Amino acid sequence: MSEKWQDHVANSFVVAGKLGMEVVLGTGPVWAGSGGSWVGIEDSMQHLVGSCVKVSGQHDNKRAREVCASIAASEIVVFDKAYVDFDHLFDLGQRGEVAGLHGIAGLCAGIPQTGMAVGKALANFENDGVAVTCIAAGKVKSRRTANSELTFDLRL
Amino acid sequence: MVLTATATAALADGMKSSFRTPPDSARPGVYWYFLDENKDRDEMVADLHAMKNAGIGSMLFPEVDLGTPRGRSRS
Repeated sequence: MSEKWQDHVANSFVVAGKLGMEVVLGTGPVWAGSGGSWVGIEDSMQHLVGSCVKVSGQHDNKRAREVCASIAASEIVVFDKAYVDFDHLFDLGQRGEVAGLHGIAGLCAGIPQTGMAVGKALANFENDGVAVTCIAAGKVKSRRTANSELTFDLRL
Repeated sequence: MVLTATATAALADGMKSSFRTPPDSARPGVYWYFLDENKDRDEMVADLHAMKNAGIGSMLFPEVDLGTPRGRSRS
């Protein structure tokens, strides 16, 4: 991205601001083509890696609380229908780590590949009669857990 | 009763007005893509004014590298 490129973009953002318009700058590898071998590992593209914990069976408050308390930013937690109204699910949402199924679309807005992959994975759970209640997602370099029932690896 | 009717009428007028002239926060957004640095300072400004006039409120701006001939903002 040359000095001229930066000048053109910065100027257009200033103009947009004066016009009361909002601009979201999307950048990164793949389509945007930015980056390269000179970019250090800490500044390079990261993968969104998630693992899934599936909680099913009879409603068990103790177990649900334990799962909720231990949820990591990179994990999806799926509770079956016995847990749909479980209060702790709302607590998770308030921690800002969890979104409902419909929130995933918003979470992934602007990242179509991510949205489709996550949506497809969760749709599979729904097809199994599992109510997808919450999701937590985060960006980590690489993380998989041995007990994951669903693992997705998405390139942002 | 009269106060309620007056307030309701004012609310309806406000809704009509907002619908005709929505606030910036309610305006639609569009993708504003550029291929391989094919853009120009003046053209970008013209784009913005055209979108503003069309009622657009926001843009998602990615620089997209698809292998098309390089454009004017390259260097």
